[in-house]
This record gives sequence, structure tokens and C-alpha cells, in this order.
Amino acid sequence: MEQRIELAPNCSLTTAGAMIFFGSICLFSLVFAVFFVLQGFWPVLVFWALEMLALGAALLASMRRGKYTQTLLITDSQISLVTRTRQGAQKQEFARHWAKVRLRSPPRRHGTSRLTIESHGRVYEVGSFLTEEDRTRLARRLRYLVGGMNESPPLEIDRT
Amino acid sequence: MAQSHASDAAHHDDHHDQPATGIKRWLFATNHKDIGTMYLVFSLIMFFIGGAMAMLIRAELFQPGLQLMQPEFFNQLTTNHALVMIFGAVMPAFVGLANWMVPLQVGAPDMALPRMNNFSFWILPFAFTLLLGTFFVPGGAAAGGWTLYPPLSLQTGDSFPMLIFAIHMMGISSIMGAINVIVTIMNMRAPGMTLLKMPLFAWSWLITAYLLIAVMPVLAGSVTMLLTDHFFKTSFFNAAGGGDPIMFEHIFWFFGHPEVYIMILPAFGIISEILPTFSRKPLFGATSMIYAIASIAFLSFIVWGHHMFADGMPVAAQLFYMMSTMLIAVPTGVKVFNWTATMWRGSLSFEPPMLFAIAFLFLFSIGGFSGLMLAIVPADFQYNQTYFVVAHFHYVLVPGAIFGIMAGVYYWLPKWTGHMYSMALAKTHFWLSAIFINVLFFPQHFLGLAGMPRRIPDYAVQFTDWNMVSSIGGFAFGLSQVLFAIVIVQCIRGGKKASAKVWEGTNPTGLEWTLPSPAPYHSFSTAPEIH
Ligand code: HEM
Ligand SMILES: [Cu+2]
Repeated sequence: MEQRIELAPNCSLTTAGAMIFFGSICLFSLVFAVFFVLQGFWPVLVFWALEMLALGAALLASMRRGKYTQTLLITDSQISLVTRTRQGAQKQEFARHWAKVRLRSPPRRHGTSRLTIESHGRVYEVGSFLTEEDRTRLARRLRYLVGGMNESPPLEIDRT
Repeated sequence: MAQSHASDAAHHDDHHDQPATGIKRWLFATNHKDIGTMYLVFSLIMFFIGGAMAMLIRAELFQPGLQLMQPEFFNQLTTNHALVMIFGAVMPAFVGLANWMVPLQVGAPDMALPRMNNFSFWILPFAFTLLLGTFFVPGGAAAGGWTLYPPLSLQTGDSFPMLIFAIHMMGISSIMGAINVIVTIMNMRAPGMTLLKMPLFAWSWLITAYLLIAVMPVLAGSVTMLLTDHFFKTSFFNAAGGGDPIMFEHIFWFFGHPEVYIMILPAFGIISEILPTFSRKPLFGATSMIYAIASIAFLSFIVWGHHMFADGMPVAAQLFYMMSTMLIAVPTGVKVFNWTATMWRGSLSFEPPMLFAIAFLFLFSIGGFSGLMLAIVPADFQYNQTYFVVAHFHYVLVPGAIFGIMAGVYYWLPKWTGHMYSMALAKTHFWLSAIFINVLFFPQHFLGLAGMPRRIPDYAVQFTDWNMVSSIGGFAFGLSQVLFAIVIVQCIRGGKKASAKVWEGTNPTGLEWTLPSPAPYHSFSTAPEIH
């Protein structure tokens, strides 16, 4: 029996969608810029280009961030955590019996909490890109599946 | 890397574990809530600085003749009052509200670009230090009006490049804010949160961000050309060199008219969330509200000429701008109708956000009507450059944009601080504001119709009475705003604990209210079990 949890950041744009969005906004604002260039006010075009560069860079950064995903596979004896980034995948394994799930509450109101899986001095963060609520619920579920240190609760049908 | 999830999960031991304290917490803030708070506090400070200038202006105008200041200084005050209020108070307030609410409303953990967010905020204090610094250099601050028309604006003293640079910085900040909002909404929505399910505040900001992105390069270009005309002997707007100063007005208003809508659309969004909550009914015609905002945004690109009727233009152009401007009344009417229909037969309650929203509805409409009057070309020939215009734009900006912001602050403040604020003080603040805003600006319609020009420190004696009334209204309105600050400070310090839903007996929509109880969308899934 095993349990698998896929974690992915919100990424509501597909690559094609992002391109269409960026292209349409470029065109839309280019119409105005060109209108002014035709009247001889070319500096507008310079600022248009700078702005589109900034928008494009921002969109690219956001799209790249969406490629950062994590998969947790929990079996009777093992927890494996696969973290995928644009650079490739990275796998961490823990003995389920000794691993511990820890949710550090935010350092202050409105701060960010952190969810980690810890064992033998190794600490790995999971779900850093989730909202607070999702992270809290994930923590609840993981605690249930992983148990405390020196615990291996039976992996039955999910009740959370 | 607080919000940008370090690509290597093992390297997480950055500043997270030792939370930054004191000033560092704010300097390096990347959390959307911290940044939202900074924007809002900054905006409040600017509101008081711009307000202090307004108090000086009204004090000078209390009587005819020159009492307190030289005309040059008076003109510096009107010019900078506008710049501070528009770019320092209204815009940052809306960006602050967007920072706080858009991620919550679309189910995102933060804004899309947290560090750019930090940067776009921190530009502002520098921009405004520079702008306010212009008062202290030889020749004083800009005095040719916030519209910076050449050749007058080119006569600004040593402060001219400072002014242009400050405006550039404000523009960059607005642009980065808009980019952040638009990317957050487009790419960070939670699974299941389709565009049409988004709350109206997020919608209004999405459209506003489009407007900002379309017009900011035009503003940046126009002020840069002023700068090169001044220092590098270009002649974009210099008639002696073959340029055309009227073209500056076209460029400026091509930016300027969408800009005034940038300052009202997010308020529309806020009002569209508050009225249903306190009417205990869903928003009437929610989808048509989105289409109305989109049509207003579209129309705002083709009406700029209504600011220039008196410059002289072909009759066909006059008709075009007149008709297109009047067309805006249609989607605006749809909105006002829908808001009214939302309240119709609702079970209304009158908490401070609702009071401000209702006042918005009435008083913004007055501003809309005077706008329609100004759109009539022959009428505008008379009203142009008079106090009637001043009355118009203050009705749309103060009980419009600013009341919208205040309604939003009163609506969400308990959510932000975790405390309820003093209802009695807030309601007092509302009533004083709502009454004195009319004492302040309504008489300016009469003054304008009687021919009192705008942007002057002295006036003919027949205008005295209404100016006195207006000034008294101004002082009272200004003073009442201190209550706003008191309510906010008290609420930050403590108070009765607010529940998750905050407004008992109401049914606010939007993800932000369901927190911290489980949110309906989530971005993790458990794949089916494999045996
Ligand atoms: C029904 C909607 C509106 C119509 C028909 C309208 C029409 C006009 C017209 C024709 C003028 C030019 C008056 C002149 O200079 O002779 C004007 C000025 C102005 N309007 Fe509006 N307007 C509307 C809504 C708004 C809104 C929503 C805002 C801002 C939130 C706004 C802000 C301004 C400002 C700031 C000016 C004066 C600019 C200046 O000369 O310094 N208006 N409006
Ligand atoms: Cu306009």
C-alpha cells in the first residue's frame, strides 16, 4: 500500500496561453505607441519597449516558478520526496519510521509557515509554494500518514 | 528568497528561521501582506501631506485678496497637491489594496513577483522625497498645474529635472505594481478559480492593470520629451523649432483620461463587493458589471479630447469626443443601476463600509453628471478652466475614489489586524466626511458657473460667500480625516477580536472571507492509490 501526493504551485497559464496573453498585450499597447511615433513622438516607443521587456521578464519568471513541483510517495517503510525543477529532478528518501513532519508556525502574524520532513538531521521543505491553508491541511495529512518520530501508523484508506 | 521557493529544497535555512525584525522586516519585505500594509500606510501619509496643501489653498481662498502667500507659492501648492494626491495617495492605496486582497481572492500564496513588489514600493518614498524637495530649490516647485503643459511648465526653475525624475519613478512604480497584479491574476489563480469566478475587485484591477500598461509609456514619453525640449534643444513641443505645444496636451490626456479611470475602476470593484455583503443579496448582474468595466476602460482611450475642446478643433472632432464621452454614461449607468438593484429589497445594515459605499453611489453620480455637462462642447466653452471643473473632478475623486478606498479599508481592516475597530468613531468619521465633502465641493459648482477661474489665489469679491462656505467645509473635512487615522491606529493596537467572517449576519463572497476555514480550492492532490 502506498500514498502519493502531488504538490504543484498555482500556474493557471499554459505556455501557449502565456504567449497569447503576452502577444496580445504587446500588440494592444503597441497600437498606441505607434500612433504617437507616427506623429513624431518616438520616445513613447522606447518606453513601450522597456515596459514590454519588464512584463515579459515578469511573466517568464512566474512561468518558470510554476515548473517547481514536488511528489511525495509514502510506503510502509519509506518516504520519498521528488522535487522537480527546470534543472531536473532530485530525490530524497527517508525511513518512515524515523521521519517526522514539522510545521513551523509563521514567525509573526501574516508571516509564512514552513512545512518540513526531518530525519537524522536532514531537513527538507515541502509545499513552500502553497497557500497557508493548503500547507496547514497538507501538514495535517502528512502527520497522519507519517506519524511522529519512531512511529509507523498503518497506511489505511485516507480519512482526512 | 522568502516567497520564491529556493529551487533546492534542502537549502532552506535562509532568513526564514530568524524573522527579520525592526526596520529590516519592512526594508526586505516580500510578503504581499507586509507590502500591502506599507503601501497603505504610505498612502495615508501622503493623503495628509496633500491634505495639508489643500488646507493652505483653502485658507488663502477664504477671502479675496492675498492673505497668506505669494501667488507663485499658491500655484506650487495646487500643482503639487494634485500630484501628491493622485500618485501618492490614490494610486498607492489601490496598489496596497491589490497587494492585500488579490492573492487572497484568487487563492495565491503571494503576489507573482515578490521582490519586484518590494522594489516597486520602495521607489515611492524616494520619488516623493524628490517631489517634495522641489519646494526647497531655487525657483520653487512646479507651478504650472499637474498637467505640465508646455511652454509654461518649461519655465519651472531648477526643480524641473527633479520633477520629471520624480514622475518617472512614480510611473515605474505604478507599472511594476500593475505588472505584478496582472501576472498574479493571469498565472497564480488556484485550480478551479476561473476568470469569471473571480471577485469583482480582482476583476476591476485586472482591467485597471491593462489601462496602466497601455498608457504609462505615453506618460513617460511625454515628460521625457519635456525634459529634452528643456535641456537638449529638441522641439517636440516648441513652436519656435517646428514643434506643437498642443500635441503635448493630446499626449498628456491620452494618458490622463485613462489615468482618471485607473483611479476609479478599483473603487468600482470594492463597492461591488461591499454593497452585496451588507444588502445580504448577491450582486445584481455580476457579469454585466465586468462588461461595464471593460467598456468603460475601452471608451477611456477615445475620449481624451474632451479636455481640449477650448483649444479649438474641427467640428467633427468636437462631435466625436462629445459623443464618445457621453457614451461612457451608458456603462456607468449600468453599474449604478446594478448597485441600486442590489440594494433593492435587500436587508440592509449600515456598518461603516456600507455607509461609505452608499455615499459613493450618490456622490460619485453627482460627479458623473457634472462630467456629462462638461462633455457638451458649447457648455464646456463656458465651464472650462472654472471651478465647475474643480467641483466635477473632486466629486469623482473624493467621494468616488477616496470613499471607495475608505470603504475598502473599513471592510477589510478587521481581516488584516484581527481586531474590530470602533464603530462609533468610524461612523462619526463617515458622517463628518459625507457632510463636509458637500459643503466643501458643492458650492464650487456655483462658483464655476458664475465664472470663477480655477488655479488662482485671488478672486473678484462677488465670489466671496461661496468661497468662505467651501473653505469652512474644507477645514472640517480635513479635520475629520484625523478620525480615520485614529480608528486605524486603534484597530492595529487592539480591540475586540474579529471572527473569520468579520461581518456577522452577512454572507460576504470571495475566498478571503472563508479563510481560515478550509478554502474550496487547493493545489495539491492525492493520486489514486496504487497497490
Ligand atoms: C461619466 C463620467 C465622466 C465624464 C463624462 C467626465 C467628463 C469630463 C470632462 C468633459 C472634463 C473636462 C473639463 C474641462 O477641463 O473643461 C473632465 C475633467 C476631469 N475629470 Fe472627468 N468625467 C467623468 C468621470 C471622471 C472620473 C471617474 C474621474 C476620476 C476619478 C474624472 C476626473 C477628472 C479630472 C481630474 C478632470 C480635470 C483634469 C484637469 O483639467 O486638471 N472624471 N471630466
Ligand atoms: Cu477625461
